[in-house]
Formats: sequence, structure tokens, C-alpha cells
Amino acid sequence: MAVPIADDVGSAVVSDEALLDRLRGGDAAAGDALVKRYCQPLIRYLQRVAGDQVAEELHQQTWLSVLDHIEKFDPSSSGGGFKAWLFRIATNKANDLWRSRGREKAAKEGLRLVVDEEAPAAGQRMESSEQAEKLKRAITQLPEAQRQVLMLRYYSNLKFVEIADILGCPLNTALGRMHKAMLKLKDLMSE
Amino acid sequence: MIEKLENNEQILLMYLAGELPAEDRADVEQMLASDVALRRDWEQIQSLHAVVEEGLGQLDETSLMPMSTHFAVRQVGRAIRQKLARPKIAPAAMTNEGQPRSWWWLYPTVAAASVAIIAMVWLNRQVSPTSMPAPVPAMGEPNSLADARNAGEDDDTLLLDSLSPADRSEAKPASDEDPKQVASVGDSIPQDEISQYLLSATSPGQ
Repeated sequence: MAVPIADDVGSAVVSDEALLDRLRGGDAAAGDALVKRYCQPLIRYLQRVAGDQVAEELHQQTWLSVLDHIEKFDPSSSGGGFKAWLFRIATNKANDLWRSRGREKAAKEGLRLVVDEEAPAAGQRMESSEQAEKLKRAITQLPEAQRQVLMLRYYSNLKFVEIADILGCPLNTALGRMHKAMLKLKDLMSE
Repeated sequence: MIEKLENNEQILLMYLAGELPAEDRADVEQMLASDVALRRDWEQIQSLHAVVEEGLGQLDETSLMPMSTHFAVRQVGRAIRQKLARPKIAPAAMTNEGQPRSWWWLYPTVAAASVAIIAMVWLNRQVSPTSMPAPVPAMGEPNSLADARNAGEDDDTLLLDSLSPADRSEAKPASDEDPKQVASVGDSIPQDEISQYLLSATSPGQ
């Protein structure tokens, strides 16, 4: 999935770093443009990694953390630029949530999450594709580490080197997790 | 970079992502051309990747986002504006380490000001001793000749005794003084001299 780089059709492309500089200077509209640019992939990533119920909260926490640390961010020192930094923060927020819940409780939450996914909430549209439903269930059954690599690769389109850096693991490990995640998903979907 | 990767799957994933350096990419293409097993692995990786990509794309198209993009932008935008509206701490009040500036100059200044005030008060007392109030005399004791005259005492001795030595000498009449003047200070003339004068004035030889 390609991350859009233009805010509006036909408008000049403004780099993330330029918008960030303007936001540092107090330009709230530059912040709006950044949020709009990454809103969909970021929310989707958090939705797949942490679940529908907390994706909205984690999304807001991510941007608040961006604001808190905006002065310290140096695009030249951060491999992958602002996008990698943004998804790193989002991943950390999701991990913090995981740790705060506790692993045992999170395992129960994971099972409950699967059940919730199977029974759509009132007012929510039914999944039209059975295959999509199967894939959604399969994603929740992936181990957290594999799920993170797969979703980061798909939604952020970051390089594997940058993904490994975000997750704090060697490149080999990130690639291995990616391959295992793809294999497991295929197996779960074919069941 | 290929030498750092552990197996064919990892190499092929990097090749599929287009993240191998040019020379490594050339090596992989050469191996794919000659190695059947590697070619089979490559096809499997491509198939896996296509299934996942298609499935996730379909999932995104059919599943709702937890909130709309418009709502998300508005929600975060509000938080951004609130944060930007907060006043920042003035840089002059902070040191480079982010610690508040210490008011080191305050204590010596206060100490110097205190010493100066104390010195001024002390000097003021030293310079003007006459400004000190005159001691209040004890009851019945005139502190001047005039007070002695106004005392209203009939007993001249008592009056004379109450005078200071300087005032007593002033009260004694001189021989060449004007008798009227002497008479005017009659109260202050010693009693024995008055008596002698009266005796001499009434002697039979005259």
C-alpha cells in the first residue's frame, strides 16, 4: 500500500520535514496536513496490531507524543525520516499497552478480541468478503512479533532495515519473522 | 549484504523488496538463472506476497476504520492547537541543562544592604548627641537660677542650698554693684551677710 505524498490532487508536494519545521514554528495547519497524510495507514496499522477498540486512542497518543518530542527529532540522524519515527512511536505505544495489560491478561484479551472480531458490533457493517473475514481472524492469531513486522511492512512501506531498527532486532530476525508470518497467514486462510 | 543474511528466503525477500545493493541484486539474478531450487523458492515467496497483499487490500476495503479520517484529523488538530497555545517557558529563565536559573546575586545584595542600613543608624546616633532629650530633673530641684527665683520659697537658705555652685556665685552681690540690683537679687544674698549689713546699719556710733 503506497503512502500518499501529496495532500491534494494537483498541489505541490511538501516534504514531511518541511511540514514538521512549520509545525515547530507554531503552524497548526502544517500539523493538520501531517496528520491527514498518515492518518489512514497509521490507524490501519494500529487497528491490525492492537485492535479496533484501542486504535483511536493509540492514534491520538502517537501524535501527542510527536508534539512532545518534536524539538528533539532530527531527520538526518533518524533512518527513514519522519515516517519511520512516527511508526516507531506508534509501535511503542502499542507495546506499552501490551505491557500494561500484562501478558496473561493480554492473551485473554487476544482470545476475546478474536471473538469480538467474529461477532461484529452493532451498527458496524458486516464483512462482505468471507476471505477478508478469514484473513482478519488469521491476523489476530499471529504472534505479536510477526504481526508487527508484517503490518509495518504493509502499511508503512518502510524498508526492512528501518523496520528492524524500529523493532530493535537484527535485520535477519525481522526478515525471518516476515517470512513466517506470510506462511502462517497462508495456512490459516487455507483452513 | 547477502553474506549477512541467513537463508535463501531472507535474500529473496530483500530482492523482492528491491532493497539489495546493485551488485548483490546481480548475484541473485545470476543464481536464479542457474539454480532451480532457488527459482522454486522465489516463486513461492512471490505467491505468498501476492496473497497477503491482496488479502490485506481486500480487508481494508471491506472493514471500517475505527474513526473517519476527517474525525481523526479534527481530533488531533484540536490537541495540536491546545498544545501550541500553551505558553512556552522563556529561554532566558532556563540554563542549557534545563535547570532554573539560580538567584546567586540576591543574597550578597541583601547582606550588603543590611550592613549599610545598620551603619547609617549607628552613625546617625554618633553624630547628633544633642538631639538626645534633656534629662528630666527630679521633683523639687530647680535646674536654673530662674527656676530658683520662681520657686516661691520663703526660706532663702533652702533656696540658696538648692542652687548649683555656679548659680550661687552669680547670686552673691559684688561690692560695687548697684544697690538696686543688689536689692533685686536679695533673695539670693546669704543670710549672714544680710544680718551683718543690718547690724552695721543700726550701730550707735552712727
